[in-house]
Amino acid sequence: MTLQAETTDSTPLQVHKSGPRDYHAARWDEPLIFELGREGERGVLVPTASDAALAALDGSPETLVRRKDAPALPEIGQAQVLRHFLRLSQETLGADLNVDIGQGTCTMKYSPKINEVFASSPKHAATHPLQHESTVQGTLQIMAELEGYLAEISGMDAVSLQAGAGSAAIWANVSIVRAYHQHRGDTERDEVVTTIFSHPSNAAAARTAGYRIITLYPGEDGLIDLDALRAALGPRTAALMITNPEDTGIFNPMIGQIVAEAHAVGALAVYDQANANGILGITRARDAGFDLCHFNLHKTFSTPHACGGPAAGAIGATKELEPFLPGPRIVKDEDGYRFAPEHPLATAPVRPFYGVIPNLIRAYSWIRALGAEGLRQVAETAVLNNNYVMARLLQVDGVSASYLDGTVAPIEQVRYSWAGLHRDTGVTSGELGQRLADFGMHFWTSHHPYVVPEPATVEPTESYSKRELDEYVDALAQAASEARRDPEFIRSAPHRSSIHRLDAESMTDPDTWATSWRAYRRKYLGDAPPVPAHWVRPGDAPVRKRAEKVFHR
Amino acid sequence: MLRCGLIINPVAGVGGEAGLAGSDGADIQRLALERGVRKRSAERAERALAGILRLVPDLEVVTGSGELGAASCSRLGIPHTVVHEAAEPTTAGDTTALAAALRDAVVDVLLFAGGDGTARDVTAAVGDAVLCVGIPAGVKMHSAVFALTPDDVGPVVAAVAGGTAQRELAEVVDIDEAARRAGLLGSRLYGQLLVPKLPRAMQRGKRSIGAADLGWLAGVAEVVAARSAGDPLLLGPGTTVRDLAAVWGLEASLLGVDLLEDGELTTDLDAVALEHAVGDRRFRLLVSPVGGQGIVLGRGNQQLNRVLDRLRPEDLIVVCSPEKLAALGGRPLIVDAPTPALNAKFAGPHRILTGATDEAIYPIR
Repeated sequence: MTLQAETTDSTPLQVHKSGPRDYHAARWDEPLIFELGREGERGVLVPTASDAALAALDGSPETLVRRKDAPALPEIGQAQVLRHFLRLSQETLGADLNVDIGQGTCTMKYSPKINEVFASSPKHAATHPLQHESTVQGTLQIMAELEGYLAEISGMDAVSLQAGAGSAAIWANVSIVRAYHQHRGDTERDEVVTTIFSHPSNAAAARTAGYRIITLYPGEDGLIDLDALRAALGPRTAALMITNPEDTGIFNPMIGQIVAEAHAVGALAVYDQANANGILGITRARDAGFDLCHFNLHKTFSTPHACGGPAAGAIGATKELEPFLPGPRIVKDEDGYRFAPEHPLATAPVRPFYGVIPNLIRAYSWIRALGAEGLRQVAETAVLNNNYVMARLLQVDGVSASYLDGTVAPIEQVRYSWAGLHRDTGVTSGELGQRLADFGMHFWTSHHPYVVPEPATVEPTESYSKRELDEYVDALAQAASEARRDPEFIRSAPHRSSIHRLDAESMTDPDTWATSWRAYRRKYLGDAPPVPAHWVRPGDAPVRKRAEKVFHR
Repeated sequence: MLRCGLIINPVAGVGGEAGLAGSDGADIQRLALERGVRKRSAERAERALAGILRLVPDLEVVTGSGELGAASCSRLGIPHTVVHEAAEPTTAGDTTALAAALRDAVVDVLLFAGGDGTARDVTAAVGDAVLCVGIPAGVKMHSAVFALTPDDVGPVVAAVAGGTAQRELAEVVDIDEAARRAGLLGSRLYGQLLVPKLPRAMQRGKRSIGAADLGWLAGVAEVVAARSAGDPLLLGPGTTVRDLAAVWGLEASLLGVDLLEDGELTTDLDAVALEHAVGDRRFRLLVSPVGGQGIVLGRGNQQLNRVLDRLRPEDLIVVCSPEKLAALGGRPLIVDAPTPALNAKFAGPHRILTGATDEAIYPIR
């Protein structure tokens, strides 16, 4: 560490630290909370109900739903509960703790804390979705205005906020595509065209809906070729479902023509804008001619990722496709906001009720706080940060930016390849990622499909300071140079993290998962607790080709 | 002035069209020639040399007598020096002796036209002391020391002449006969040659991608069956195609080209037999690219050479698991047919079957 103290006005006090910090994660070796308590231990002494109160309750509806046995909760004091969860939290690399730009494609950004105040306000939090519309006018106003903002940002005519996640929104998009063609009596379309670097949920959702998937691969410039696109499109194409910029971070400037080619064969064009962080206020889905699009509010619009949910997905549609949007639609008349009767063409709701209200409020607050100018600044800063990180990272020996030869600048992220380092040292991108944990940083290599060898996607977004970006690059550079000096040191990393090594099998094999105390007892302690009633297939139901999911919880 | 060493193995590849899976050994070579197969090695070497001449006109070749290279140089009017005299028919010993002579003669780059066997002989003689480029003229060519096609040799040599090509050691492998007898395709490592590092023009080594799972095969087999119903279907070599045939209850050959017609399978047809069997009828061809190399035609399936002119591009059914496609790392699929015109016919975006409900549009180069 170098400390420089200058007192002259021209050079203010600088505290400069070179290289990544000297970090060590907390390690508590904390038992499960079920193993911590003792029988009879109490945090709160609940007074026993008086005989009069018990008599008064006798025969009341409450007694009908009252459980016979007390729930098998751990018996433990308040302070012990607090310490338990605080220790666990110290063993995690939370979003508010680390520089997690290595979770590329996830669009990790700051979720402003003030928005938590709005989202947790009892004005929303204490309401029930079955309340009469007249009693939730504020919430409905926020939703209606958020729909309006997102319509303006995407250029679309109508927006539905119903989907609870990005993939749910993609599923809704596919459902709309299917309903649209069915409504027109066009039953021959059984193919969906996508690209290998579009989010895989597009292919997965379309396949689930029964479509054949035609996947386009890019040329050496990372862009799909119009000849290849024309070879893919035809009278059987129901929709083109793509991302732009793709997961490589490269924006396809031919997007208008690509959409036009899809329209020319009667297909719909669907834009996966889950991550629109690099194009906010710069380009719009509708301007490129898209019929449908969706946003992940937990990516572009700052709502927390929350370890896989709950998220929120917003679907944008043209006037022509608006009737097919799922879920309740908000309208405003002289009495205020209310839900319109379901349109006869509407596709099935993708989740109960209206959407994930707390996240809608957070996204609404974020957009309101930034305004149009601020949204554009978000995109510009995100692109600048990304190109800054790329310029520095490419000076490290053994890493390359896939499909980027210097003629085109990437948008919001880059899919790097550590193939060079791997060739020279045998150290994989995944092993490099384990070492990054020693600097208290995320490094994620789940970049399906693995077309790019030894992949790593870095997405700096707008939320990180130059100092943090430098720290991240310094850490990666140090790890790469360590790999050249001592590959085994990297392979045996992390050395300074809470948990030293995780068995990859245990991460991917659900049979090893215990997501509840009951599952833990059953799978690891040999208990045989009662298995809850499981759905039994009626005799005439079609048999799926894939095996039924095993019971895991 | 670029000083090029040249070795042509005149009998390389004869076993390909003859459906013999290789050309090593005098008996195999005689059998192939008896089956009416043309020697194509010199023709492919001359295609490569003509390409070099266009880019590097100031060329001097050092080679062996007659079929070993001098004859080809004479036909193309290239000034050449002979450093090894051989009686014809030549043998593998001539390849090794010529390679050693070229090492001593000090050349900028050593070109050899042949297959994995020729590469082994060259490796035995020069080790990693000489920069080499293989002109693909053999049958399988699993080694990472060959240009993708003879037409790629010109740009490779031009890059060497211009000093822009980095160099790397590349593996020389040959098929593992023991594994093949056990029904597996495997390679054995025989050494390394120093080659130019030009991934767009040089082929990679064959990589074994784990076997496709049964569910995937069953789904794909159903689609292929539906698509090829009614017409003859040719089955290319390799484990993927063999395993698909197994789904239909057929025992296809691992290294041969088979014909499936009206549920009847005829295995291991040579080029002459295939030409006769197909006649003027429409037919479809089922192939899977070589793992890691992405070559769909021109490696291990030269029996097809004489019917490629009548195969419609849309009837070329390429089956490839997503894992195998991903392992190409974005490199295009390659067709290395007997003529540039045939290469051009199959070039462009192609529909690849990647699953029962999945296709990819992937470039063939």
